Amino acid sequence: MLIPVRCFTCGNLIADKYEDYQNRIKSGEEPAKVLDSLGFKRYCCRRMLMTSVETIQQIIPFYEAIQRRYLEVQSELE
Amino acid sequence: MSVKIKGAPLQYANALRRICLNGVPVFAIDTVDVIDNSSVMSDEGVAHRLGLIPLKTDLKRFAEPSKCSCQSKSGCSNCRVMLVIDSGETDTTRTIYSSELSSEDDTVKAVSDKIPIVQLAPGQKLKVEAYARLGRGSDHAKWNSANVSVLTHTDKPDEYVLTLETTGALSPEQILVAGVDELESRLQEFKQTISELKA
Repeated sequence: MLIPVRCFTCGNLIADKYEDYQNRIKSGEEPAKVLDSLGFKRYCCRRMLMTSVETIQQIIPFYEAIQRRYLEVQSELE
Repeated sequence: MSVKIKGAPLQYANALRRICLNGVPVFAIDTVDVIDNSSVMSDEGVAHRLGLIPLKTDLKRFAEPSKCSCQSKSGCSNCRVMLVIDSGETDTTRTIYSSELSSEDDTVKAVSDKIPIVQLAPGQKLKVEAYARLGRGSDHAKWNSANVSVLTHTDKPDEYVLTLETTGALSPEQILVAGVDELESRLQEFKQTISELKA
């Protein structure tokens, strides 16, 4: 769903750096260099950030739509 | 952090390494009461994420529940800390970060303020009460005191290098000092048991 809080293998905290990583990747930086600058030395932690897919981002729009529809119905009732 | 250990036998150095890895108690959320959770993540999912958040630990102020003077299952202010999240209503989609985890104790708080816990769509709510306690890595990996603890040889005999890396609950220096104490108390306990056997 969301980025795991810690690395599966070594238990290092990774979740707090994911947003920064994503933003920098999207702006066109080299992933390897970003990982180096964020201080990820081991390949176990590096793969956590590189391979994580936040599926929650794919589900949330449906709930946004539900809320929009709910508000529409509410305003129609009034 | 790397320390050179000189003149100690390999057995002692290795015992210290193992205790630094999972023998020093640290804080982690252990019990979560979910009051309201309408997020897309299940209650267990949220509880699991909360459990893994490293919390800053003060070993002098708190006792492990098993060794606390209160001896109660529910715990007291010396062995348990309550942390609360209340998202309230939102109009836009937003992420709940560990900064919203408000602790009843100023010292026990999340190591980083930027750990995402869950994402909420408009109309969704999250309200939980979480209880953190001291625990050991041998019970659950969330209580591991260090995530890297390696002993390496040098070219000289009787000289080793201990490398420690932590998540930030305790600093490597604190882990090492607490580890030495822990090892001493374990040896003391062992000696006691042996002497009782003899008698």
